[in-house]
Order: sequence, then structure tokens, then C-alpha cells
Amino acid sequence: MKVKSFLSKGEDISSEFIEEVKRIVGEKYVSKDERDLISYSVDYWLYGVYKTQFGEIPAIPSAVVSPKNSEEVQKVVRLANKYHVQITPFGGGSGVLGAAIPFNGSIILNTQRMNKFISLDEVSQVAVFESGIIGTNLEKELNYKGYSLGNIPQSISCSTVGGWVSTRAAGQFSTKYGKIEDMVLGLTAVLPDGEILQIKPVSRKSTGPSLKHLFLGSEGTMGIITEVYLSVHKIPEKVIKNSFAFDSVETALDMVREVVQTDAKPAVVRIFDKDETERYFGVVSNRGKYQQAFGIAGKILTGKVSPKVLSILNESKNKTSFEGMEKLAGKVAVIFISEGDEDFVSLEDTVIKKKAEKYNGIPIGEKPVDIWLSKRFDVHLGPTILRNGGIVDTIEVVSLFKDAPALYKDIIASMLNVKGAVSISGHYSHFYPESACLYITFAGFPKDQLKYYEDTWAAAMETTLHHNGSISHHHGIGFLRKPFMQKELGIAGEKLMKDVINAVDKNHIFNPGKLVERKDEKTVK
Amino acid sequence: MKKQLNRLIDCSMCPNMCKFSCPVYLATGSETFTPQKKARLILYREKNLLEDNDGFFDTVFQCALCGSCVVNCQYDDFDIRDFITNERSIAFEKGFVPPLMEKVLENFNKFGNPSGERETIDKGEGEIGFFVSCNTFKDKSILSATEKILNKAHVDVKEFGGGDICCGAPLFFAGDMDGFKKKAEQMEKLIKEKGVKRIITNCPTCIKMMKKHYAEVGVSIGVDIVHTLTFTKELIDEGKLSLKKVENKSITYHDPCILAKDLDILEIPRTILKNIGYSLREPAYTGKDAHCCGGKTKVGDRNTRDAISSMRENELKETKAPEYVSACPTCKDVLKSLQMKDIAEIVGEALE
Ligand SMILES: Cc1cc2nc3c(=O)[nH]c(=O)nc-3n(C[C@H](O)[C@H](O)[C@H](O)COP(=O)(O)OP(=O)(O)OC[C@H]3O[C@@H](n4cnc5c(N)ncnc54)[C@H](O)[C@@H]3O)c2cc1C
Ligand code: SF4
Ligand code: SF4
Repeated sequence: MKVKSFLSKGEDISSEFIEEVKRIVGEKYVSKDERDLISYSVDYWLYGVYKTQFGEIPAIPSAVVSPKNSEEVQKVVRLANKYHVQITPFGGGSGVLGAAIPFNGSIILNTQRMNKFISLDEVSQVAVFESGIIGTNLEKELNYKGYSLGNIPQSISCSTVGGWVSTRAAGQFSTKYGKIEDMVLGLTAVLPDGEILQIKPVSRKSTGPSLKHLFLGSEGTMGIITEVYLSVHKIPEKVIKNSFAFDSVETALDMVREVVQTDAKPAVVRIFDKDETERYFGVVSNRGKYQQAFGIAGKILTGKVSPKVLSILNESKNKTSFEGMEKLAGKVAVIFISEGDEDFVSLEDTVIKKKAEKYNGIPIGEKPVDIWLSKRFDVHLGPTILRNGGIVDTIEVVSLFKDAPALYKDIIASMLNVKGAVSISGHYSHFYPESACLYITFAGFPKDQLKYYEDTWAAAMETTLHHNGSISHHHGIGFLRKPFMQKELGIAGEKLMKDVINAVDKNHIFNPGKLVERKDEKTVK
Repeated sequence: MKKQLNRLIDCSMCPNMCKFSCPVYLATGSETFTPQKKARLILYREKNLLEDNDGFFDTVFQCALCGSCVVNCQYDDFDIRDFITNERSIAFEKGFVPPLMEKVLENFNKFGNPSGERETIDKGEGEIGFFVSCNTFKDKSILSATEKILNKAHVDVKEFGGGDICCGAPLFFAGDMDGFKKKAEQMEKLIKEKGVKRIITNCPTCIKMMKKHYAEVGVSIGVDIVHTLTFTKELIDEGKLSLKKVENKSITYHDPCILAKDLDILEIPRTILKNIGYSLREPAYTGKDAHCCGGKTKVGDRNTRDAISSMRENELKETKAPEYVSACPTCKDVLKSLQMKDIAEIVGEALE
């Protein structure tokens, strides 16, 4: 192939294996074609994506296999054991940590042919889907019947339910409806030895450690999920939107903490730091007329950011004006969406307003919420930045409330310190009575893209660990965060995780190079 | 083109935000056939990085040109179909003809139309031209229902079509741009000869070809062309047609992709059906979210095309409606297992 891989190459796997797999899934669904090897070579790991524009891809799989149901998956996995072929499961390919990149010449097992809505039990409000269905279609099918799952990640239109389970994904409405682990009741998975495991769909049980949780976040190392049983709810009857302006991230965190420490469960809660408030709501602050976007004033004044970069970044700004907009200038915006039963929602609205008043929050009304709703799936700027030689990515971490303000301050500072950084901004969008998830978006226009990328990630991870935070809230580990796993879990924790994975996958068939270092495994650098 | 090429690069690095809506992807489960991966492969072809030409050419024919990805695109100014079409023309120049298109091209060579030998329609007088599209020509009940509507409203039309008259869409789909240009010029000449001021037709694809793609090959028919549906609505609004009401009847309307996504006609068919008294049973994927019927010769691969059609049939069947209707003769023909009608037939039946 003229297209070059820079992390790992495909291997020539035995033609007997390929022939046997063809007999299982059908000739059309096994491919060693160039077009397929390229298409399944990377997920949405952003440095990898950046490289693709130059004809360089991270890894080439040995083949791509697309089975249509659990039985076919089972047969393929058994065969893989027989021929010692490794398998990387590929869902929507929207994972951002490289968890679906086919290292070691593994084959890709594409789950996207398994994309059906199987059934809905309206009595218990449980829906069953094949694992390869894309989120938007899952929601559409449910909405059509008057229900919703309520897991709305920004990637809903390009990620699968199997991927959500495998990465422990979280959606924009998570503060009320929970994260994917709160929604999954049971599942069907093909284990590394080819056994089909069925986990019964009930809300809770006391039958030993939860097997279900082995798969939540397993990133394709424990089994291939083929069907998922999900708890769904009726489409809410009442929706109330609120927004406020606060003086600082710290005050906003206090206010939200007090809300979520009551019985209130707003579906959406988002705190935007000053830079994100500016970017989302188009508020030009009085911090200086050069501060047009991303809070990059200093950089422009010192000539570090070219007018071209400025104009690219400016493209992301909100351009509509609205009443109350000026009140957000130089402030931290917080938005709430309360939804569900009419009586509960009204009560929640009262609680939110009271707490906002206590912390001198200035009410701004519904408009910022509507702006956020209209822009929340807009990711058009990312590719444009990459095309112009920039690097952009997101990092989500979580800490207790007590550590949150210091973590916010230090993580921004440490990431800004990396040579090439142009913009580091943050928001909080997943809350618990005890903690909050901080989500950072960074962009840089460095000379050495790889160095900038690695240094920025390291700065963010080290700062998080320093403040007792966890290195990932919902994107997962993949291969990119693997070097930080020992510090995250501790030596005993990391060993336990390895032991579990090695015990489940004795022949090391599934997803090489991900999550934790496996036995006899080379680290991919 | 520079800006467009930049957008292709952007698309090749997009998270594939429209993939959920692509019927080819949904029917095949293939990542390779998603819009973003097509963009990456097109980029690599342009950079001369691909070795497997046939595999690449097949990929650009794994597309229904339906526009779902355009409706859901991150960029307002990007239509990947322009690139796909361009690659199809390169494929054609290199002699690549997908199996599904062979027969159609053969017919064009022999008869100047996609269907085979047929009579030429040339009748009537009036300022409005009624262009009988190739698929309407084959479907006498759509044709006679449309004629009935026009008669009832006392609209004089010059009706033309059949013979070697065709908008050229199948050639466009196959990437034969020279052939397409010739058909466009033939159509331009014919319409000028007819001297009509406006044209109506039952086929959304013909409209798109004559409005958008003719311009791309430097041809202009010089008059406006609208769907018979739009025209029928005008006649109803002007009080020229009175319609009997049906009672207790429900129906499911399938949005043809070009009509809904490119021509933005969503409300007119629904208003007409409601006026006649139908209650509408919308499928889960409807309006601009409706999936393509698969078409006949837009997709180059028979298995893919048939998988798309059966996917759409199943989605429509979910409504359990007693009747199904569309506004495109191709959709009607492709989805025939649903005893699909064309909206002209429904209006025809309701005429007082
Ligand atoms: C624009 C954008 C926005 C995003 N927003 C969010 C967000 O709001 N919240 C969030 O949580 N994440 C978000 N993500 C990250 C990503 O979408 C999630 O991690 C998602 O869960 C990945 O799903 P996928 O189907 O794309 O999985 P993939 O990327 O294909 O795979 C992810 C991992 O799961 C494994 N896997 C996939 N399917 C299966 C299966 N059936 N069985 C076993 N293993 C499997 C793969 O091997 C891999 O290890 C975003 C990503 C993008 C690009
Ligand atoms: S035009 Fe339709 S079939 Fe073609 S890539 Fe776009 S969505 Fe898919
Ligand atoms: S067509 Fe638009 S939305 Fe779809 S992948 Fe390309 S850029 Fe993204």
C-alpha cells in the first residue's frame, strides 16, 4: 500500500483463516481490500486524524470482518483462537483515545452490521438493541414509540451503543438520566474463548460481583457486545430552561453543588468558564478589544497568533445577539434544563432559582440555553484547525468538589504553559452530589505537533493526578492514557485489572495494546 | 474549487457526523461507505495514494446520491455528491461501468433513453409544457391521473416525452458526462422549440437535473420547471380543482429524497393529502430524515441497492398504514411491494 501506517502494520494472516471466516460471514463481509484497510485504520484519536490528511494512518488491520449476529461473532472468535489471530472490535469509530485502532496486525471486527432495534417492553420500560446501532437512530426509534434513552453524547450521530458500553460513555443529559452504566440492565457478549454470555436484564441483584460491570468500560478487551438491554423512559412532559451569570467558576461550582446536593435532578447542567461563555454566547468582554475568541488576547498582542489563526478561531463564535447578552460579559455562564413530570420540574425550578440568588447569579433567561441547544453538535471547527496545521482535542477528568477549583486553575495553567498552546478552555457538564467532571478543549498551533500534543496531554494528566482527580470521566483509556494507568489505579489496582483481563482473555485475542499493558505486549509509542 | 477542496479535507477529518443518516451505510454496515470515509478515499485518490482503482471506483458508486449527508452536514457549503459525481466521471473515462448500469447505458446507445424502444409523445397545445419523465412514461396510471387533473382544471399543456427524450439522469449517475451533456443540449433545444413558458413533471430527479446539473455542463432550459405536485397545489388554491373528501382513511407518505432534501418540498404533499381527508401516519424516518428508496441506477451495486430498498420498505411498513403514497415514479416502482401510489393518482381519484 502507498498509504503508510506510522504505529503498526497489518500482518499476513493465514489464507485458511480468511477462507474459513468467509464461510461463516459470507464472502462480502470479509475484506482485505485497500479501501477497507484504510477505512478501519483509525477511530477519532485526534493526532491520528490529523496525520490522515497527509496520507499517513496509525495502523493497518490485517482484514475487516463484519458479522451479522452473536452466532457469527462466536464462530469468528473461536476461529481466531484456533489461528491465534487478534481481534480489535470497531463500533462507530468515534472513540477519541485510539481504543479501536487495530494494533499488532489484528483484524477488525466491525459491529455496524448489527444495527437493529430488537424490542421494547413497555410494561417494564426496557428496550433491546443490537450493539452496532448508531445513537441517533436508537433515539429516533425510541422517540417514535414515545420513549427516550436520554444518553445524548455529542457524538450521538456517529457512535454506537456497543461503543458507549465499552467506554462508559456519558451524555449531555446525564445529571438526571445517568451515564450509560445507569441505563444498561443486561447484555449479550461473546467472550474471548467464544462462549456467549447473557446477562439478564434486571435493575439490581446480589449474585456476586457484577459481571455487567466487567464490560462497562472494558474497551473491547473482555468480550464483544452484541446486544444491549436498556432502561428507557417516557418523553418528558414538561421542560424548563434557566441560565445565570456568575462571577467565577468557583462560585458557579458552589451554586451547582448545592443544587445537586438537594433532591433536584436537572437533566442538563453546564458551567462554561469565561472563555467558553465568550465563545458560546458571543459576548465580547471588557477584557480588551483584541480578545475576540478563545481568550487569546495575550498571544495576539505578542504576535504569537497569526491573523489567519485568529480568523479560524473566530469562526466558532456565536454571531446572534440576544437580550441580556451583555450581562454575560466577563462572566461564567451556567445553564439548566429541568424536564419530566410537571410538578417535580416546577419544584426543581424553584430550587435552582433560590440557589442562584444565594450566589448572586444574574438570571439571563432561556436564550443561552437555546443557543447551546442549537450549537451542541457543532464540531465543524476541529477539522479546519487540523487542516491549517493546528492541533485540537478534548480532555475530561473528574474530581471531588473540594479539589475542583484548584484543579481547574492548575490544569488550565499547566496546559497553557506548553509551547504552541493558543487556547485552553473548560466547562463542567456532569455532576454528582460529591464531584464534577471538568471538560477541557485545547487548541494549539505549534511547530512540532506531536510534541505539543504529548506534552499537553501529560500536563493535564499529571495535574489531575496531583489534585486527587481521576484521569478520565467518560472517554476512556485506549492506548493514549495507558501510561498513566498505574498512577491512576495504583500498583495493586493496575495489577488486579491486568490479572482480570488476562484471566478472561487467556490467549490474548482481544484488542491488543489497549487499557493496560498485557502480558508479552510491546508498548505502542 | 480551492475552498471546496479544503472542505473535502475537512470532511475527511470530520467525526462522520452525518453517518447515521446514510442509507448505504445503514443497509450495509460498512464504514468504508460512510460519507467521511468516502471523502478520505477521494482525497487519497487525488493525491495518487491508492493502488486499487476498481475498489475505489466501486466505492463512489456505493452512493444513492440521496443528500442525507448534505442535510446533516457540519458545513453549509459542502455537498460531497459533487465530488462523488466527479470521481464517477473519472471512473467512466477509465472504462469502469458498474454492473447495474451496463444495461441502461446500452439502451442509451441504441435508443437514446434508459428503457428501450418506445413511442414519442408529442401532443397538445399551451404555454405549459408537461414533460413525461421516463418512469412516468412506463407508469400509465400516473400519466393518466396527471392528464385527468390537467383536464379537470382546464389547463392546456404541450405534453412531450418518450422516444429518445430523457433528461439524461442515468448517464449522469453513471459518470458519462459527455453523454449527459448531449442529452441536456437535446432537451434545451426541444424545450426552446416547444416555446413553452413553464414546465411541469412528475419526476423530482428530472427537475434537479434540469435546474442544477444542466447548469454545470453549461446548459440552460431557459424556463422554470416544477413538480406536478406544486402545480396541483396551485390549481387547488386557485379553486380550479375540487376534491371529494375521503373519510376515516389513513395513509403513509414516503418523501422522495430529491423532492424533500434538494427541492425542499415537504408540506405540499401533506397539505394535499390532509385536504382530501387523509390522516397521515408518519414513519420514524420522515421528511428530510426519510431514507432513500434505493432508486434504480443511482447505486452501482445491486445488492446494496436492494438492501436499501428493503430497509425503506420495512420502515414504511412499521406505520401499518392501509395505503402508501409518494411523489416520484421511481419510488413508487421501487417500493411496489407496498402497493405504493403516486400522489397524482390519489388526487385523480378524489376529483369531483
Ligand atoms: C465529536 C465527538 C464528541 C464526543 N462526545 C462524547 C460525549 O459527549 N460523551 C462521551 O462519553 N463520549 C463522547 N465522545 C467519544 C466517543 O463517541 C465515545 O467514546 C463512544 O462511546 C465511542 O463509541 P463508538 O461506537 O464510536 O466506539 P469505537 O470508537 O468504535 O470503540 C470504542 C472502544 O469500544 C470498543 N468497542 C466498540 N464496540 C464494541 C462492542 N460492540 N463490543 C466490544 N467492544 C466494543 C472498541 O474496541 C474500542 O475499544 C465523542 C467523540 C466525538 C468524536
Ligand atoms: S448522498 Fe446519500 S448515499 Fe451518498 S453518501 Fe450521502 S447519505 Fe450516503
Ligand atoms: S458530509 Fe459533512 S457531516 Fe458528513 S462526514 Fe463530511 S463533513 Fe462531516
